[in-house]
Amino acid sequence: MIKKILVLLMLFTILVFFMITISDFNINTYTKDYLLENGYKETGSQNLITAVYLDYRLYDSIFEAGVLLVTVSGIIFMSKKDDEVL
Amino acid sequence: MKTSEILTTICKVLFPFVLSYGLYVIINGHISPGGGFQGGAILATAILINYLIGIHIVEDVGLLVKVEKYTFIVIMLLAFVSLFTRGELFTNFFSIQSSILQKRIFLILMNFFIGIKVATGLIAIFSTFIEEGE
Amino acid sequence: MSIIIYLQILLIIISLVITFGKDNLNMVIFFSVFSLICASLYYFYRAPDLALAEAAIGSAIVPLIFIITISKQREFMVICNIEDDFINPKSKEGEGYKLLSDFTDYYNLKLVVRENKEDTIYGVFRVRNVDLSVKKKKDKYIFEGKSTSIIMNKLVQMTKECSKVDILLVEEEQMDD
Repeated sequence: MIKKILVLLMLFTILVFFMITISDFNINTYTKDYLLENGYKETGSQNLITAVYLDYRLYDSIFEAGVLLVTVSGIIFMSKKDDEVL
Repeated sequence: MKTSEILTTICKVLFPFVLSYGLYVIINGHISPGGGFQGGAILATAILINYLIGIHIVEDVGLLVKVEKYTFIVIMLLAFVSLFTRGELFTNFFSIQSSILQKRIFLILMNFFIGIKVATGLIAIFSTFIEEGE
Repeated sequence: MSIIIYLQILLIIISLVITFGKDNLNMVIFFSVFSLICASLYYFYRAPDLALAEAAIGSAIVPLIFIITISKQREFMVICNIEDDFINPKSKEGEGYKLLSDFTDYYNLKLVVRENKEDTIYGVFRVRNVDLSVKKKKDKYIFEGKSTSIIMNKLVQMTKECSKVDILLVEEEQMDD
């Protein structure tokens, strides 16, 4: 019983601290301003999300596609284990 | 198990529309919301809906996986070209002073190949699930 | 603004229904509805590309996978190691076949009888999905089933009168000879 009350108290303090920090938190809008200003000129894309994932962070999205390839080959390997593997 | 007549007819009528909508989302990824991944998922859905009414479109899963592998290699090579033309890795291969229409060629190519890759991958996963049970 | 609050309340109700529901097929349909409401909420929060992905994957592909898995589970798989008239899978006759079809009709399952050939059964399929295997020893036919399966008790009750049949309950790992 004491343990549960202690855990509840800890969770409550964490919640209160988070609320205090969020209320007087100055979010830095440096990246957003830069994208809005230069995104269309530098990449030629009106959709800024495409500008991010095909130009600024292309390294990330290529290996995201690689993860899908690994998943497919794993599933096919498991299902055709006894016969020939592709 | 018997499938109803209404479901069969609706699926057959809806199939070309969903297919063209997926292609639209892929090709217009740089203007409107969407892109390679979303359009590829819609394309995969259009083909997989046919399994509900008992039509088996996919004959060979090996061919699909081959297409996916070679598309991934093409994506990697397209991203590597910018090392020679611009001096940076993994960006647009046109120089930064070139016009917006030229830069869009790269975006359309990348969206197209990513869309094909995602669609073939999802179809391959699903049709192995179905072949397993038969 | 009020439609967002309405959709959020609906989302909470549907997630509670999914958590506490009992019927599998209904849960899959509720899951699809959950994804659709999620997609419209994404749209109202100004993320239309996430809404596209959620509508395609969450409300079409994942429920399709679940539906096919459920329909595969409604089969009762029997491997037949004998070659006489007791179980005849082609003409669907024989004393044993009638017994087994009575048993599967009781549980609304679909009876699938396969003869034991190495090239027809492969993959993950060989190890896990066999429910019953039939052998012949002297004059008696022996049904081998998993001891963990609950519906095997009903089969034991049904075959008490039939003097030709013995039932052997084995552990999970010994099923795949």
